[in-house]
Amino acid sequence: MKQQATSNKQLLTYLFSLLLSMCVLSSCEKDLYEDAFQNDNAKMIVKRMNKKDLEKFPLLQQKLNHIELFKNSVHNKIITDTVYNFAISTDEAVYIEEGDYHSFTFPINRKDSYGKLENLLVSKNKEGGYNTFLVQYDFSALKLKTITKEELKTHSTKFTYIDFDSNNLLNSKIGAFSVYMCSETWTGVEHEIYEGNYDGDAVDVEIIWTNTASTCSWVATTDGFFGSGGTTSSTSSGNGTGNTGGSTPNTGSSNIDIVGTLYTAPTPCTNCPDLNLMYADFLSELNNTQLSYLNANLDIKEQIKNYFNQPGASSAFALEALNNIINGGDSDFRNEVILHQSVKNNQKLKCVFDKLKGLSSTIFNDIINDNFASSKKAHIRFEIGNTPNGEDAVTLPFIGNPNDPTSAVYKVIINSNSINNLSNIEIALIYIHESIHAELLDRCFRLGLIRSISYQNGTPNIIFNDNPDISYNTSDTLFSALAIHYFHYDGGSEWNHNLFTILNYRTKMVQNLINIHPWLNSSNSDFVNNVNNDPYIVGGPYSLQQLMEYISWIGLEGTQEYNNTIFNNQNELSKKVYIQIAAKTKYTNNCN
Amino acid sequence: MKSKALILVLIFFKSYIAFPQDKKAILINYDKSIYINKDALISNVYHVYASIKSSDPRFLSDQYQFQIIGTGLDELPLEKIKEKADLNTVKKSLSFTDLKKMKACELHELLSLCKNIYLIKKENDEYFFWRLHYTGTTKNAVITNTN
Repeated sequence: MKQQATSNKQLLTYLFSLLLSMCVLSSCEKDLYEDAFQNDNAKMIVKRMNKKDLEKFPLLQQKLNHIELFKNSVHNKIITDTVYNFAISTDEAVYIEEGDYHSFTFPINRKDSYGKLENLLVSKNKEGGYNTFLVQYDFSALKLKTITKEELKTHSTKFTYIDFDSNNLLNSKIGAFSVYMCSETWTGVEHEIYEGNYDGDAVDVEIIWTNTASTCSWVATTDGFFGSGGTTSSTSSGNGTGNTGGSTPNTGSSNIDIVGTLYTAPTPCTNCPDLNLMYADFLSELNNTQLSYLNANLDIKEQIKNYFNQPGASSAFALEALNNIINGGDSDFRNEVILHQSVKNNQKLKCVFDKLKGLSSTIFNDIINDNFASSKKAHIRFEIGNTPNGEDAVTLPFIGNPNDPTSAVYKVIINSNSINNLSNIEIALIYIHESIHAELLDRCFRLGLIRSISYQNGTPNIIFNDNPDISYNTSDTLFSALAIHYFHYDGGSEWNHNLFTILNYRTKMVQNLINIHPWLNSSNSDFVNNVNNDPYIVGGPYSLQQLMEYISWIGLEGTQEYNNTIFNNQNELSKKVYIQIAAKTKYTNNCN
Repeated sequence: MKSKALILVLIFFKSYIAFPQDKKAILINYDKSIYINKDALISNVYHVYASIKSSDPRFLSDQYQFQIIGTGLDELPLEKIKEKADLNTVKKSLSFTDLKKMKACELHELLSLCKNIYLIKKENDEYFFWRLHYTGTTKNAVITNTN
């Protein structure tokens, strides 16, 4: 008996194990797509669908066919309307189901979205068909990656009804359709990400945000500005007379009853052409003044768009540059240099700047490339003002967020009292010298050498980091060692200038000055001739190379190398002093 | 040591909280011990002073000085450069006067070593913060409003 009981127990255990295995196997056989997105709200099912999944919905396919009829080109999986720059990825969607309702959220990219993330929502209606909405969230695709539920609560979503079954899309701008705003509930759904065919463990988990939008109200819209509208209950099923006041919507007030509760999931278009997430994020953060300016100045808009295609583009710089233009200045996106209106409106400073750019449209990048053998990164603004101690020019660094290397900006102030007496070559030297300061400081910041910067009576007080936790390559290690060496040298205040003289930065500046000289020199008052024909010349005659050698020392008089090479050699010191004066008095200060 | 542990607010943040990459931080409440003054020369720099009674009988007060640097090149009012703070994080902030339990040198070293110091302000049930740079201490100094 005991043996039989044991046998029965073993059998039961076996059957239970078999049943359990079948359940597990059954689960494995199910489409893992369907299980992967089960959310904490048991009533709602959220899943990503691919083309094959979407083809199982014939009514949806009819709707998509309508969309394709209105489109001009189909490229790979993306349908693009070249008139409206409205690209829809119809082979991927997020499916949301709750009870008898379901919706599909398709990724799109539209030219006039102002950087806001947009989707095409195909939402099941009461008749069993589908209504279509352009959904605009109040944040960018980039922001979606880090957004929190608390932040989502502060955003509002716009639902624009689109009738793809008529010719409206071709006859009317999208912005003129009825727009609805609703009461929104955001739910985060954990989605496991698998590699390949969902074999094995999930490699990552993403959050899919779903927006349940109910109690929608229409808002009249012209050029993107919203008036007040009436409200209608999400459960209204009447004849669209749910309006209780407010302005008349531009079109389709009778469409109010089509807006029940809408379910959507913000979905970026990863395959859409011509989509730059950083640029879109930049646009999405602009205020109405900035957007209006860009819409009225499409060349600037294009420059900014192109800027964001550059490696290392910075939103902080682009914003500074745009505001500077709006305030009457010039901004050079390719060089990442901003000319404050005070410089733009100063004939001589602007002329020398333009001459430098005439030499090469990427002159500041070139200068940095020449000196550092790598691309320029510092974001600089040149402006006229008062320097803290009466210097001809000074570079003031600002670090907005110590954790964000792209947040550093550099203000180069050119002394308003010095400008009239500055010659063309002195101004060029200021542009080069101060740009190198900015670049050196930026590199120290990016390498973690600078912890913070404060100001004492207008002078930057740079606090070094005692233990940078950034891994260095050989070049960085050398640079870092030199910076720290000079930080400890003679009280450290000249550490940045000392870096100029090391690794031949100063020597390469000489070559920059020689290259620029023909553009700034006056043939009627040639600098070399003026110096060599001077009856009071000290030393000489000088070649252009020699003259620029001495000029390059201007501003570097506190360095160790200057002491060794010039200051401690009376003959050299006399020549340097003479040529520094000659650079001011014998070099033309008229720039035409 | 225990009281020190209470005072040294070393807060470990998760990546989604308002202070993204910070491992350790000191959060200071914006209360009556705090005074903020705009720099006279550099338009986007603000000086922050926190004065507490000195624990050293030779001195009347210890004034700890910080700076807030604007996020751009132009002058921005403090309101524009504040950032929104997470409520759970803010709960771990402290009043600067709590720090007087520490010796001045210890506090000076703590502030000098800490890379992330924040000034927290409550406005209409929301919390905001500014990033502070510690710039040093002065004895017996008091900010005096002569307007």
